[in-house]
Amino acid sequence: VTDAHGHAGPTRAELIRLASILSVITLIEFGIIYLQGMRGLVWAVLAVLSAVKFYFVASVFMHLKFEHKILAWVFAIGVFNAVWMGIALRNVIMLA
Amino acid sequence: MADGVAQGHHQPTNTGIDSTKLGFWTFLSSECVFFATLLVGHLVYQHNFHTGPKAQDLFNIPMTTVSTFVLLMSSLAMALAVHYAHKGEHGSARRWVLFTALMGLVFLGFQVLEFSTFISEGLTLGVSPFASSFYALTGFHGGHVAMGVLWLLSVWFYGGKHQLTGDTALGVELAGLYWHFVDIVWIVIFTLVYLLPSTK
Repeated sequence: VTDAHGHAGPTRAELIRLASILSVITLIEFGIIYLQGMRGLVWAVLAVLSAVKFYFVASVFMHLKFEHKILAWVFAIGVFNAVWMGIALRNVIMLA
Repeated sequence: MADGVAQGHHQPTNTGIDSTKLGFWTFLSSECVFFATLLVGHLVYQHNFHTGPKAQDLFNIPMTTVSTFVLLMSSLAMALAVHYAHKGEHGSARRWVLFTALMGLVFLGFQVLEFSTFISEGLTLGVSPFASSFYALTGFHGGHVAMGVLWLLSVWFYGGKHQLTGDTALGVELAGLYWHFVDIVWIVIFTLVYLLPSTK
């Protein structure tokens, strides 16, 4: 949807629908940690749900889905750097 | 060109992207690395240098889930503020900006409550590397939320005398980007710091 100034973005209904989805995901995250004896599966599900929330907020709330691709790349590079630097830093600390 | 600047019009760029917006996204990109260092430090210390009270015994997951929900809803409020600013509806934009700031204050209230509970249980700043890294990570995030609240309140006050629409909508959008980023960081912290160590 494009407004009077040519700015593209989500509609009010889309924003509210996304917030509802994010709320349900948060509720699932809260409930799933009480499952007994399935730690590996719970960890995997939590990682996926967290990534889904991250993606939705960045793409819709932060408008990356509607913006120039360069902005998405700028942010993706930051996230990529954070992940790789995190892994490297963890290894350095663990070896020290 | 001087007239354009004086009237707040955006200058044309060869990418077609507003330079302020590109610069702000670059800043947010660098913030990812900043929080990654704090997060990794905490994750390492959590499992290897843990003395004093254990995380699983102290975390109040239901309360943290509620505070997470409040921050998520504040992101919705901020997105609506940006939506109305771009639509030219000044009153609605200003109202949602204020609502976002108030929810940010509620989130900070939850954090103050959590910190004071932990400290009374013996998890003081210097009791262990786990405690230090936990307070550094969540404290810096809380500091970012506090900065965001101040920014939003300044936008709200500015909106008392000026329109938050038209060219000024970019200012609301940048405040929104910062706020959503703070929300994204919390999404990661909530999962890695609170939920994963609390699994059965």
